[in-house]
Amino acid sequence: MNLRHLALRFALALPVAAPAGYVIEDVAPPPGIRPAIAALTFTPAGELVVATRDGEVWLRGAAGTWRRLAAGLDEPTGLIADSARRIHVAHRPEILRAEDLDGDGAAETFSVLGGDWGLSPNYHAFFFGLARDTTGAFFGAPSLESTVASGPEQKAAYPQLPVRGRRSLGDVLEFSGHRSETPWRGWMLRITPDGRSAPFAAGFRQANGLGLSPEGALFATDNQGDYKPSTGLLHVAAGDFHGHPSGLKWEPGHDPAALSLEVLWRRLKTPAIVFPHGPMGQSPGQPVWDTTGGAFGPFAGQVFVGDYSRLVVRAELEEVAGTWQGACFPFLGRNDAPPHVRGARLKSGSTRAAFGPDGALYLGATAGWGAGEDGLQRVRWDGQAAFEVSSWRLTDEGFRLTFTRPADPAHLADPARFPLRRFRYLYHARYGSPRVDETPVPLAALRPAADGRSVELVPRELEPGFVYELPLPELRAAEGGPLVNPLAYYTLNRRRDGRGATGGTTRLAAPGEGTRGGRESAADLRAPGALVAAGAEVYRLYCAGCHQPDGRGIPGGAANFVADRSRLAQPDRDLLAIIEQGNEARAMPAFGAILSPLQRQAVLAYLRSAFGAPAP
Amino acid sequence: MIPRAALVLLLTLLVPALRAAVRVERVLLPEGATPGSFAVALPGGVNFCYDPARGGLSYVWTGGFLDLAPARPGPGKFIAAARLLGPVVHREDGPAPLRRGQPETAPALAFTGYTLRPAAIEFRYTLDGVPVREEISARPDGRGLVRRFLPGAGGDARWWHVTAGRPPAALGRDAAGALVLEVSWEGTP
Repeated sequence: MNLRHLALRFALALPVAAPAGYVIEDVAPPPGIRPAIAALTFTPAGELVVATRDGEVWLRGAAGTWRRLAAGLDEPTGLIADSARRIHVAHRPEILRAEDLDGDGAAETFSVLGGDWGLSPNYHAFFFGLARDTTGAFFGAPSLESTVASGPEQKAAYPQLPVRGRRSLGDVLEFSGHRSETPWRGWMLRITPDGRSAPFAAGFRQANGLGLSPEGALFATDNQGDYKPSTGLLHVAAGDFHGHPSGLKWEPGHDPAALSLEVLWRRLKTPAIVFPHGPMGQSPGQPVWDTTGGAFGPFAGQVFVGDYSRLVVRAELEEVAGTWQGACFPFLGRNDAPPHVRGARLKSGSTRAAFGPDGALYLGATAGWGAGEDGLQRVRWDGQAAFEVSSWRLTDEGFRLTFTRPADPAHLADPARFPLRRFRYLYHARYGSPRVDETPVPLAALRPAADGRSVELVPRELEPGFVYELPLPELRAAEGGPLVNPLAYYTLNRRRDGRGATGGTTRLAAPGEGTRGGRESAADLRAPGALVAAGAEVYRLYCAGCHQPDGRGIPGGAANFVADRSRLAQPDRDLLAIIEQGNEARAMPAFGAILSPLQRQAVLAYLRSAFGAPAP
Repeated sequence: MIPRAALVLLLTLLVPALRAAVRVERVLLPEGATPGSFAVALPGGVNFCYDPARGGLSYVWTGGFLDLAPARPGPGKFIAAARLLGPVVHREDGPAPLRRGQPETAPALAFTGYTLRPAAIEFRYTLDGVPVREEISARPDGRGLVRRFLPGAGGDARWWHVTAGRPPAALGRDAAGALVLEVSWEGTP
């Protein structure tokens, strides 16, 4: 890795700038409540409807006044409004059709759809929704339960607590931090209008966002984690397997002896668009399509996904030889971006979204689940198109980039300004994955359009089954000025000639691969610097996505080891306990189930070494 | 000047009695409640837990309703059962307690919904495909529940209410034709 690339990688880890041309405004939430917005939609008449994590559903009328439609629900995550008097709500136990039949402004009649999936007392037993196809059938996803408990007593008592439905605490394959304890957890379910649900697709961990494209294709987001190398936008078709095996135990005829990591990998469908963990967020939410016909700016037809970590991702899908794939870009940055940057006020925890009748993107945020903020915002286009990559599409020979404004013609002819790279991930039982097989992709040709609005990149080779990364910090507009968001990725699942790759954008991990620092014995690490070196690798693989390579973390989220010296000014035993058990308030996973004791010691040694914080 | 402790006691006693509407909460509940159960507060200060998975009342408590803080932790993510703000005075258990014809045979139950009424809640489910409406309200003296079952079919067949540990109770009909069961906890927790 040369110095230029190192500097670029460092730059990419800094806060993402928000694009000019967009304005973020706070929207007054329902009065007198904690505005933890966990679902968001509009009625056909354009009235805003929100559901809160505390179980209330509110509707904002034309005059801007809120009224409560329903209360007492169990952590709603999705809404579909047929009208102001008939709204479907996804919550943990079931889908409810809430109706205000007597016209008093509050729903009094609730009809159940589905509700035949298992339900445990696990905090992670969400039911994510909600999408509805043209037949009136709904889609929803009961998420896997977590093996993490709030303390030893809770962990000991947990197996005795009652559940709805059958219960299985066994693992299908290798142990992981999440498992399917009750039926159909880890699945996408299809629920017919008469309320019967059926398994539709498997392999999900936490599908915290569902949506149907204008063409009617079903997409969902999923979080990185065990068997999940990175986050992404998944195309979900009947019979798919999306990576996490635990839910397969509920399949009729399930034979655990017939499963192996390789069998699963050969069945695996990886995301249509990978959102590389870190630069493209870490916990994506609901995908929404810009159907405003240009009212929201130059990205009509594209997809917007709010991520819990103070980022909105823009994605562009295309169907190539029957396979969905495409590009993703940062859209709005974190709220610790420089104050002059528009959009810097984006709330963290904004995982719910809907386009309003005014052409604005409404975002709902909740502080729940981690370290977000409660509230409601909208993003408006101010009519000014900043210099951005509006589109990245596949061609017969490579890729075509299209810009919102003409680029400098000389720059479009300069291959050095298009440092294309590619990488893929490992498929394994461990949390996330490092990038593997990462390599520069030399260009054989650059074909700029005469008007400077587009350029075709022709690589010397175009291998499917890789994520292509394109940092563009040195590209300028014809009128001067850099790209607002100079980073993009394209997930190449399939070439236009139909060639794809088994395992999608993953490679089957060799035994122990991707877990450096886990294979060494204590004796191996006695050499000077060996423990720190092993810890550096663990940090890069498992910690840098949140704490950042430079240790500056995420404001309000992952700890900043540089600015806040108190973080590491604790005895080793306390910090090892945090690494092992996680930090609930800051959404830090419990790495006790992920890293070996030696790995945990190694990463602590690296933290103390890299950030100058000896043990007190 | 009323002492603060007396004021709190007074409000604790009065607020449940002054409840004007039915309130429902679907959160994790204690006392062995199945996840997905309903906590219902009725006007008059009577509260109960209803399990839609088995179509029956799980327990009744009096006084205050719920401390929701453990179940809705705000910024955190771990959840625990809400706390009951009063003593449990009645318990029931067992699958599909409403049975037609033979009390020994539990029918297949599917929960289909609920309706909030001014002073009652109506649960809807099917038993072996037969739709049933079950309306639960507080007895006027606040020391019992009135449960009215309205099966969508059944003719002259006998209907039973079966609770684990008790003999099956044959249900009679009121003037409107509904099957009626009163639950009282006078002297019986």
